[in-house]
Amino acid sequence: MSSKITPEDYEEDLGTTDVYEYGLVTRRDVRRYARAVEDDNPIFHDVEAARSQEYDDLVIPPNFLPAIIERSTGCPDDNLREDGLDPHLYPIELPSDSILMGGGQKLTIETYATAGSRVTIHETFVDIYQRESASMGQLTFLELQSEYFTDAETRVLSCDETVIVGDRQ
Amino acid sequence: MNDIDSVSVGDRLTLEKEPSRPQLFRFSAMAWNPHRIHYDPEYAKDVEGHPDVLVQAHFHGASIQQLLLNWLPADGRLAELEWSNVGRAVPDEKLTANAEITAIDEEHGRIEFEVWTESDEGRCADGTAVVVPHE
Repeated sequence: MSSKITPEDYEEDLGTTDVYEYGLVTRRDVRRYARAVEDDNPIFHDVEAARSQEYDDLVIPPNFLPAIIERSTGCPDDNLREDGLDPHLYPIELPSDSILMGGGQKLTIETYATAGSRVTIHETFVDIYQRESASMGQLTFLELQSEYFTDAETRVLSCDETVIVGDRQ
Repeated sequence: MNDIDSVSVGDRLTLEKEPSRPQLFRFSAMAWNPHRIHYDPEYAKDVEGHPDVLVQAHFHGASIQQLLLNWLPADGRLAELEWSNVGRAVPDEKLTANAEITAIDEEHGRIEFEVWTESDEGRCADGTAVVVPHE
């Protein structure tokens, strides 16, 4: 339950940054993500169309990388929570009977990364706090900031994300 | 037509989508997202109290992004996209992505939008976006 989380327990963790080597983003990744959205924009599918717009390869849809829930492989199946998520997905220990909700994102896109890039993610634990909701009781909010770098050490985008932990109703 | 000189505050863009269950499965696969609320209807209903499996939070952002990038000219770029999830959407129902121009900054060549997605039940995501129509 969210009410089992004590934000003060994580004060020393605020500001810490974890680095993930996401690795190579391929043309297949780009095309499959665009297909999953049913987005036929040619800059995601057709290399020549992307090059005609002065990109060096297919454009990685800007919100593709921030939409990835598990940056690595995730834990073994036996260790997943009942809801399917890795209990260590976020920088706090998730109570077993809590529920998780995506709260939203703010993307700041500095340049479009392209297929063939190797991506490194720097994720910082920014804040944790609790609020009362009329319909859902106490909710715990996690604020995370991720910066995405390509192999040239170029920051291509940053993402401020809110994750909400609640109690089962 | 989508030149910064030919748009006005209040202009609105719309994209209708109807995400299917296979589409949500593909989206979860690409995001390496094992959350049951997106593919296990019994879990979604019985354990978490949702009406069905849910459209992923990030899918709303992806739909708004699709709307804006399809509108932008070839040399345009999405610079900022922010949204909060304020409601739920389920598969096989209409989901509309919307964007309305709220400001045009001719000096810096930027256009600001209010953006949102909505289903028949109301708004699902609310936010703002900034585009640069010509780099």
